[in-house]
Amino acid sequence: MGANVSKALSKIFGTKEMRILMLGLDAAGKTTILYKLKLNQSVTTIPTVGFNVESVTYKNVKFNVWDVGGQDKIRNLWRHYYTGTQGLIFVIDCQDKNRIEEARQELYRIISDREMKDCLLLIFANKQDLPGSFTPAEVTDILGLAKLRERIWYVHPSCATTGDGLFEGLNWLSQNVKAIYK
Amino acid sequence: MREKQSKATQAKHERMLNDLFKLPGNEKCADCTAKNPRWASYSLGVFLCIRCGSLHRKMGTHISKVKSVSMDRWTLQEIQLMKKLGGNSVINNMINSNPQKHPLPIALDDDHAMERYIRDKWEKKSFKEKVISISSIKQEENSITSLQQLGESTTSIGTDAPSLSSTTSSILSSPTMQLAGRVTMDNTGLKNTYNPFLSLPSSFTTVAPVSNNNPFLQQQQLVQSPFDINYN
Repeated sequence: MGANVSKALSKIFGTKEMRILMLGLDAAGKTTILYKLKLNQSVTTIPTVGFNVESVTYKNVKFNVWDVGGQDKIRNLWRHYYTGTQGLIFVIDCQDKNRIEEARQELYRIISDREMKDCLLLIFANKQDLPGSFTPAEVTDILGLAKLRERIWYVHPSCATTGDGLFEGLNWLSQNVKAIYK
Repeated sequence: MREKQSKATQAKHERMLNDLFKLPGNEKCADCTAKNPRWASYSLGVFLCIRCGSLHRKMGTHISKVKSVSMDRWTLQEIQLMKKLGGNSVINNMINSNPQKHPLPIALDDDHAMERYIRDKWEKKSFKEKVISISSIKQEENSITSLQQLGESTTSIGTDAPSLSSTTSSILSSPTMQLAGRVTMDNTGLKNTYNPFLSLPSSFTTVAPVSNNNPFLQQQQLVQSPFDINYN
């Protein structure tokens, strides 16, 4: 019974930790999202060579967010970050319509990896402020998410520069993390 | 769809890219004139330093499509387009023919000033001299028909860099630019995408009934994971 009480208490007061990996094509807005979450500032980022990692606490959950550079030739480094990942944030540049197919391929390459088979999938349909960008529904359709089996996924519209939609995404992650990790 | 490139092809493309640095002006960043630019906008045809490259990325791919010379894989079409466009000097002459009138920000390390400069130059195109004579357009038209017979490679270049359409439709000063613009114009599906301020594509309105809708409000019904349905 003592164990149950302490479990209940930690559920109420304790902070959970969650390891999040943020990936996506180059210039999708990953680093901008990371620093908007961390500093609540719209920073001018330079292309990420390597990775950035920050922890963001939101609603009693400490998110350790890893943001790895998305340039074509450095994408094979992504797999080195897979181990222990509980949530994947995949960022899509909704304005860059010519490359969404490329994004789809990269996404499927990631989630078909054995180490990523249990992680939650959050997709930010980013750059909603730009004219003529894909809507979240269109993104869902193009990525073929409805066909995914045994994967908890969610598409959320976002605008990294204003911060719109970002915390809603984290909220979804924190609510669904229990579904897998009891 | 991106095709896989063999090691040999990649090496060849790298050599071709490095050859491009011999074009006039390519040894310096097209915007801030920093030496040895390692980034490029393959839609605008200019080489950039990493900082100006990131400011180009910030504008969005409808203005400029940025790639790293060393960290990105380039397709043959992209390299050929860079070559055709003629390099930093040629493009700068076109977009900013009178650089004395539009000096660089004094504090080059000031990101905000530099962003304003780059947006004025490439997004608003306000440095461009707006002189277009009818006769020169006629001439261009003739040269296009002959150039269009070049065939396949031209078409693929046109489709690969559709963002040129907005640039070219108003510049009309180089046969190459005009050509690229031409080919894209035929591509009616893409045209709207790159002039988004003028009109939204009709398909867009069917998906999102109100054009100025807030996507953050309506996403709940739009996107629902199958898990939500099953367990709630």
